[in-house]
Amino acid sequence: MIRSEKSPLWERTQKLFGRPKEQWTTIDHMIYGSDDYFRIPIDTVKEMRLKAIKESLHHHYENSRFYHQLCKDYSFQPSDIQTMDDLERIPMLPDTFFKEYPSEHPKDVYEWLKKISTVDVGVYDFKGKDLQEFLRWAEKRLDGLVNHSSGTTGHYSFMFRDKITFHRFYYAVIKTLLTIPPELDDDPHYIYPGSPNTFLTIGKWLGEGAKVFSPANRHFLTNREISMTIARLMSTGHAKNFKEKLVLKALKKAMIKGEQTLLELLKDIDSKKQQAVIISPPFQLYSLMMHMKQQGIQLDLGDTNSVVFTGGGWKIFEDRKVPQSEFAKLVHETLGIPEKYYVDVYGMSEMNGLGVSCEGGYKHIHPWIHPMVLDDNEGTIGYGGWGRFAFLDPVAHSYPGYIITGDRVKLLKRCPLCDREGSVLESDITRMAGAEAKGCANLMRGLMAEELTKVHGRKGV
Amino acid sequence: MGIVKQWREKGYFFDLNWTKTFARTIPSLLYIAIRHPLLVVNANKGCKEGPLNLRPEKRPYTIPTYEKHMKIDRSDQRYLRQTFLCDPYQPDIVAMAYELGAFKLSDREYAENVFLFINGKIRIDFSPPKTASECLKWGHGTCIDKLTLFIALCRTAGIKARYRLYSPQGVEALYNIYMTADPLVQKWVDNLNFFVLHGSGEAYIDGKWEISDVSADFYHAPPNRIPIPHFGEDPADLWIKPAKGIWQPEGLPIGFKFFMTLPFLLFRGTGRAINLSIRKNYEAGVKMLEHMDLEEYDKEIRRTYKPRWHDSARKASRVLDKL
Repeated sequence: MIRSEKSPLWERTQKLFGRPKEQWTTIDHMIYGSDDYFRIPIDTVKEMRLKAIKESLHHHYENSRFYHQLCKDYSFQPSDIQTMDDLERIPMLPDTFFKEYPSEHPKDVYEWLKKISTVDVGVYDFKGKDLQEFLRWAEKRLDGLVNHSSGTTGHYSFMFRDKITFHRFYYAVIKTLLTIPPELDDDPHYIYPGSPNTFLTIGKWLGEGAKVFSPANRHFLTNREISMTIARLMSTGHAKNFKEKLVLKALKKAMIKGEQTLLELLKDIDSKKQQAVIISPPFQLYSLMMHMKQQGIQLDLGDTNSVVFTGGGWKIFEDRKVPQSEFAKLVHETLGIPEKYYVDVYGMSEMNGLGVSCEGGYKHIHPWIHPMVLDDNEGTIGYGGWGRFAFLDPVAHSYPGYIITGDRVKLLKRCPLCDREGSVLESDITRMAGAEAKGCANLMRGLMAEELTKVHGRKGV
Repeated sequence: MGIVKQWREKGYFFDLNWTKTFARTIPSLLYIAIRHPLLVVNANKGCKEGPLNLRPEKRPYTIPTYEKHMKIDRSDQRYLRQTFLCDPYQPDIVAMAYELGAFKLSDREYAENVFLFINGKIRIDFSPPKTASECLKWGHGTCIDKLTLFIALCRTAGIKARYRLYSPQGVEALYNIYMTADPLVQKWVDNLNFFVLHGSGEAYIDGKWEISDVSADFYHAPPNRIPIPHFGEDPADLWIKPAKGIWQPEGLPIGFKFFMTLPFLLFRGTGRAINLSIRKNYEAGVKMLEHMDLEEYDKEIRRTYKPRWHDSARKASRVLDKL
């Protein structure tokens, strides 16, 4: 818990991601002014969320030529929204929209970004042809956060967050995750078994999030840069030439070596009785834990209130799913962290909010996100039925955060197991039929699958 | 009344509405044909296994024999008289009108019966234009053929009826059945973002023009999770809506049959491919309706139904393209 606002970690969070109170709107009051996001009375949540969405709608309607025109095409005006029931009338964007840039030439991506962005991206003075470099330029220009998807289908999905969106989102996420450990040290270790040196969503997000930890206590599997080309190479798994084969081989080697180094690091942290915040895609942590099991290594990280977070997709084996409860048990057996301090997080690159799992595995959605479940015709199913996940996200300031996703979910009015307020998603989230595979965390999985099979056989534990 | 004026009233000339409709659609087809000649070649020779039309082997209804005592409203009033392809005095039409309750039921009850009959028994397909009596005799037709039959059956019974024509945009399910079946049509519709022509009917009942769409066979709805159309219900709220202006002529132009037969001669493969797709959907619908009460289905689906227009997923992209 961030019980003390004087904790260095908390001070860094405030410094990096805080926003001046005089600039707060309703959404800022929800994010910066709430003690516990999941304990706000539901009536207050509804009232504040509706107000925040209305404000956000006005912002995008007034400042985005694209969204203004889209609303006109739907014969919709922000003033049409009076009550919660009206929210389903808001024109939404499919998540695939963010990969519809005309070409990978930086100038074309810039022109596209300029059209879809609600904030000003300024004039184009980027000189060069490299898209990764352009993303660096755009991030600097927006003073925010830019990330891309794996490019599995041949096209990357780009998200451009300006400073306001970035800060709100990061503050909320860090606050949410850091309130989970029962006690938080002044200087815990942060461990992410991936590379922060990338614009690939998971690496980028976790690399940026690491900045609230002290530099000496940030640990990654590798610092090798994962460029866009490498990300795509990893996602397809097909090296086109000798050079690409070498790149893949080197990357795989680095990951295997890095895993052993991380294990040594965890042992060291355990022996020194220090706290660790481990955050990883399920696949990678599973691989690490299987190695530990094989080598008979058992740690007691639970003694120091260490925590484990997973996120980014549950595809561990091609042919078998590891239940979250089984995973939590393995966390306890190998790392010594109690099952209740293992938390799986549901998120996606377009959403500025998370679904945080409780002990029952239900994903508690951040209160500012208005979740919807749609049927095949985009009619709202409501609670209790399986359908397509869609949401209204008033945090998004640089793009309209009203998104229809490709995830298949079931929404419940409240958690059947715990007493936190708000609606929850059932843990069994999959992709809709016909929706393309997603989850950049799975990139590493493809690369490491062979290794994992060697460790514990095809069937797993 | 002069013959020219009368013909104009009856809609026998290709007026400005028709000209506009063709002007905004035909150049696009020509452009695609020039840019993608293979599509045309394939459309012409492709899909040999598809049927040229969906005429049922055995009609699911019997046309009663015409008897002399059967009354015919031979009025010369607008919207009651015979127009091109719409032959309300033809004996089969008159006999069927009697079977459906003409002059016995109220206008509304009778028109609703006609609506249910056409939507339930006449199969939609992609075939050259027919007269109302041909459509009744063969038991199949395009949306316009079925509409002509609806109008003829109304006029026979003394109910004014007219066409309601427009270039339509359908829900994704319709797009998947009709447009994706053939690459040429799909490319054309994607290019236009609407189809050339669709017709709903309007019958004048109790002092009001009631819209009814008889093109959607009931068995098409369940496989596509769309509601069953009701009499008097505007399909624009459900599954097909005007993309451009609507016009409500009394009849079809005299050249309609000739011009609308041309595509079937030029792109026979296209018609076959679309008919094959319609038949598949029909069969799926028939199978589903064996175990389902239509009313129950309709009630359930309407609870959450919201039309997902065929371009809804791409709407944002289209708006972006326009900027």
